[in-house]
Amino acid sequence: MTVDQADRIEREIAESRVGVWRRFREQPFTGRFLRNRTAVCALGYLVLLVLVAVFAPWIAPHDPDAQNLGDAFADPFSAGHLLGADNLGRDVLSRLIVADRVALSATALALGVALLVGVPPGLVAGYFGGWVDRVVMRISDAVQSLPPLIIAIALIGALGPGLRNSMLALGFIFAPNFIRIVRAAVLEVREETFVEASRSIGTPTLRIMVFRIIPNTLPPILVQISLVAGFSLIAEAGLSLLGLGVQPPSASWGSMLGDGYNFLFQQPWLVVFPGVAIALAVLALNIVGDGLRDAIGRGR
Amino acid sequence: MTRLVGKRLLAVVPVMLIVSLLSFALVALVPGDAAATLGGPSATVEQIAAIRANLGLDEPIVTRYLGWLGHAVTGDLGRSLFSDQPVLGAIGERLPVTLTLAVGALVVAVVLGLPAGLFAALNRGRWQDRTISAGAAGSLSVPNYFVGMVLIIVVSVSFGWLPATGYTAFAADPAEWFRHLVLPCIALGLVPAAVLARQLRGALVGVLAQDYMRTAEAKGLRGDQVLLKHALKNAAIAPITAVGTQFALVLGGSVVVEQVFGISGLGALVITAVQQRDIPLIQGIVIVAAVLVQVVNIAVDLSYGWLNPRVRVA
Repeated sequence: MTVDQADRIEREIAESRVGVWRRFREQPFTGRFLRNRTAVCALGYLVLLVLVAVFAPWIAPHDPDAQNLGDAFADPFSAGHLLGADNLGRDVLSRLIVADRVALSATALALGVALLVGVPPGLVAGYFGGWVDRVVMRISDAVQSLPPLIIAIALIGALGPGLRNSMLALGFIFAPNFIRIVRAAVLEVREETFVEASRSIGTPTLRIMVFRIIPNTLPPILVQISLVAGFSLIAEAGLSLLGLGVQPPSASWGSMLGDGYNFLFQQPWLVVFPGVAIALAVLALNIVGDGLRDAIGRGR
Repeated sequence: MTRLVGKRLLAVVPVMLIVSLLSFALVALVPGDAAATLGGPSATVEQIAAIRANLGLDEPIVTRYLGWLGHAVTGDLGRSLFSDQPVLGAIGERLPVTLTLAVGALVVAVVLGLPAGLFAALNRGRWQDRTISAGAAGSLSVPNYFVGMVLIIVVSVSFGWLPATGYTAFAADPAEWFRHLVLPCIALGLVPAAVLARQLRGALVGVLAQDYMRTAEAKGLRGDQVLLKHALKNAAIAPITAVGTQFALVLGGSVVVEQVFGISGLGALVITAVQQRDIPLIQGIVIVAAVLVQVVNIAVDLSYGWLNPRVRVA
């Protein structure tokens, strides 16, 4: 291969990349989202949180569980501890970083359960209607009429405490959100001409569902995912604060908040940092969710 | 209107039946032999047998459910596995505290959210509107228990204005009762306030653009009359629904907030019940919470009939 050819191939690859990016940007949905600068910043923060979670052990400046009583209640910006140290002299920044991994994996688990339990019934209820629809909607009405946190706690009472059980419980509670949103989206697409065309040429129902219906329900599902992720994050932290979620010595933002609260008078910062971490993550999720919702809105 | 009430009450039956099935199913979710698991590793054979008898685990599941449901309908929710106290009595002792908190939180929501939503709608697109929207988005993202802790740090610890923890009954000392309630109610009420402000702003912006608003102004009604009679009443349905749905969330949220403020209400009870894996008590709390939420939902639905006469006929 001559140098010329190599150059040309490289140029073509570069151009095709630009092409993909441009198509992505000019597609109405993603385009509108990308023009919303606040939402893009929030999305950037979420990506950062994911990266921190993935590389947590390498980023954390100290061993998050290493105790050093000499440093107990160290102030923020003190030597060796950027955000201070807790009652056992454990580095707060390192614990926050490791807890980020717990928070994200817990949220992902709750979301996964909610999607798995919520999306199929929503699809079936919306597509077939009739008595299936009525039964599914009644059940999700009933679940939604219950205070979420109390149900989560009740389920933990039966299953036993622990992060996995509490996230399973949250997943079940948030499933009706997805049932509702998917059903509504399906009802909208079901009567579209292209679906009727598919049906009239004898496409199997399952194929229509997978290739015609599901892709059109994705934008509202995305919005719901970001909002439900915010709820689960707050709920996970709340449950861990109560001692029903993550078990010591593992760190979660919620359990750090709970531990720090016991030493409110010695070192108030122990409460502030994990609380701010939760609030920032939820704020980013909410902003991304609102941005996605605005991006779906047609013609605005 | 009577037909509306009747229809609405009938709709509660299937929901409560499903709720009863769900909370009954909690026993089935207990891993392994329920009686042995609930008793814990140190339980004696007699204790396990007592738990089995309490939960009726020897009977077939259908008989057990029907029996349990029959008792529940008549207000008998069984006895606690630990204190042997009737479940309904234990809940009744704690419920007033939690209800006071929940109502207080909704009062905070209305006091903060109503003017904020109104002000934002009247200044749509200006900096006041944007500030309020940003404030609402912020309030929605901060967990209520963290708000509570920050309030304790700032208001109680730094300034010493209000007590940090505890609860005084109204009958014992109304002033102290109020002082103890302020901070937890603000912590619980901030999210509903933000939701209310957002919904009210959205609904009002829609109503203010209607032709009848211009007519009302043109026929010389005073500004506040236009706003109260024509705008607010027509824009009220969405915000009232929002406050109604927030009630369930406030009730759940109070579990953590009660813990932060050291208040022993329903939240403290449910946490003890879970730590002791006291299934009958947990089931009872689920049922009572569901009934409360249903009552609020009915009140919300009936308020539609009052606000919008067209609903009454339907």
